Amino acid sequence: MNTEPIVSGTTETHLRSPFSAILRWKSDFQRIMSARVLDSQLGFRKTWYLGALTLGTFTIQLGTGLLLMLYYHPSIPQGYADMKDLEFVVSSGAMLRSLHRWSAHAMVFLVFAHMAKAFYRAAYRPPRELNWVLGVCLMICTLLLSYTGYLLPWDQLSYWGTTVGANIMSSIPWLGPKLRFYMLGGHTVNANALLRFYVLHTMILPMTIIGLISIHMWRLHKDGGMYDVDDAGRPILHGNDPQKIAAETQRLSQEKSISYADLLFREVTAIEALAVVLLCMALTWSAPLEQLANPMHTPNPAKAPWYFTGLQELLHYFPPFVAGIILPGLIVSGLIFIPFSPVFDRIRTGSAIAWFRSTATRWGPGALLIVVISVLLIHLHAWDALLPLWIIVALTGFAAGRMGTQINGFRGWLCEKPISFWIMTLFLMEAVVLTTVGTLFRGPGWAWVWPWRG
Amino acid sequence: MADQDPLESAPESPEMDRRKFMKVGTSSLAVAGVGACVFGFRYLSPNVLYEPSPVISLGKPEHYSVGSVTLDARNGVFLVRVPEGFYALNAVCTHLGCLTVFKAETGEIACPCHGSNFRKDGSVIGGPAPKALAWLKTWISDDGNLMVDRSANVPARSEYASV
Repeated sequence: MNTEPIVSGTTETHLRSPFSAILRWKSDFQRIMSARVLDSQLGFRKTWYLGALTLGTFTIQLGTGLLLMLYYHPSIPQGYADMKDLEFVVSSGAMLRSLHRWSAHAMVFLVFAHMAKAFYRAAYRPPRELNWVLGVCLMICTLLLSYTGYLLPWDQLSYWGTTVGANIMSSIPWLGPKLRFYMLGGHTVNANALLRFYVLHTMILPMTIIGLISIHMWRLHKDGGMYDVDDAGRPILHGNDPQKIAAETQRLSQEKSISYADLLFREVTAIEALAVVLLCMALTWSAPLEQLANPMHTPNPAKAPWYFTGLQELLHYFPPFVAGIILPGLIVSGLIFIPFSPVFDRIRTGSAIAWFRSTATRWGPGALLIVVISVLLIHLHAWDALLPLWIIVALTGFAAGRMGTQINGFRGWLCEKPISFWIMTLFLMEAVVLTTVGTLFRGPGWAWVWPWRG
Repeated sequence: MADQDPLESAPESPEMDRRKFMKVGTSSLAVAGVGACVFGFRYLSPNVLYEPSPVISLGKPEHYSVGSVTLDARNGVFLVRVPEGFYALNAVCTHLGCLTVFKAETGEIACPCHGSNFRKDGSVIGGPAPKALAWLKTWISDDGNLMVDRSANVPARSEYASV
């Protein structure tokens, strides 16, 4: 039980006034963040303030979403008419809708970036494994928020995006069609589906996210604030445990140990800067709105928003059950098991190149796996999915080329990387390449186009 | 003794001690939970749907010339007239449910979403579509209208409606 006063002067319990109650509440509230933050961890470099920025976009979503709810009716075709009203009639309506849209895009991007940053910093390590798993759940909730939000304007993109998503669901053997029926409340995307998505988007998912964020923040605090390592690569613990703080402060006596308020100030400043950027975007570019949903005409090409075009690209190559259920399921379970797998512990596994070189037989299965995947992708003409795999193979080959001799620079840096680095980098490169191809290089009939030609 | 928890010192009745109470309480909550889930699940599945009837009328046969492929987009159905008679295809792509269109210049049916294409008889030429477009039960009603039942599939090339 930690009863140490965090800010002196706020715990004078003999003052029985409402004001003192507020002060006490304030001091409890301050425990959301770590009491002490080391000077070296304050800077932009360590976290890029990605977690705080994600929370910032979520707050913008709550505010703008609540305001949009005052004008939006979840019915057909009134929902679409309300979009037009927001665009042309309601004061500041267009700005609010655009801000909600751009902030949603920013939130999805920041969630991905926050997770990638946490991964490369190895911040998933025990005792933070629960927080990493909560982060994966928050990512799923964010994507579900985007997906459910897309139906609400009831334009062409909404209708066909949801139709495709619902059919991915029904590709699950045996259970699929039933699940699709429950999800849509009918056989087609119609009024029932709109209402169900509305309830998910405005109540169930935001409530879930608020709950998960609360636990996420509480764990962050309990696990000693931001994860960091010292020069020797050992994790630094600097929670609210006074003994640990004292020990850390002594060990890092050259560093200043300062209060959380400096971090809070910087993070709030970063959130405000992001809010200004998003506001400028909302004032410059209005959120797209296509024509009224028309079940009689599928737009060509019917493209998902950018964070789903990678998935859409996979759907082009693989059956829906594989591309829409198996692969995302594998990715999510892979992400969840990161902190529980020895492969991902950088300290224990050490350099991947050295591990492979230590026994000649280790090359065989690895090479075989790469050949099998390559043959499959060539057979499917999935050149864009093949590219990242071969880049990784080329980079490992480049790094392993003259191992044993003293190598510096980029090559030496690659040589030291553990297996987890290569797996995650391959995954991220696949995501970036497939998303880029799906967003920019696909035209009518999902055929290849060059974006600069028309 | 004064600061002892009153609950701690309360005499426990032999019929219902705390352990037993917890046991009964948890199991009755579990039963109630399962019941709530079952009814909740049934509640989520609507019993009445206000969706259009699967049986549609496509008008008089003489409106369609031999060799024509006509898309009824409202109902998601292709009506094809061949020398043997009429047949109807489900125009909803078997891949992920986009509405396909007939390309007169190539004589193929194409899906705009993920690039599948089909022959006039519904069979797959290429793309990710796993199955051919389904043939739908087609007949001519007593008053001479072409009728299609969108909920009834028939084997491909098995039956043609003719006047």
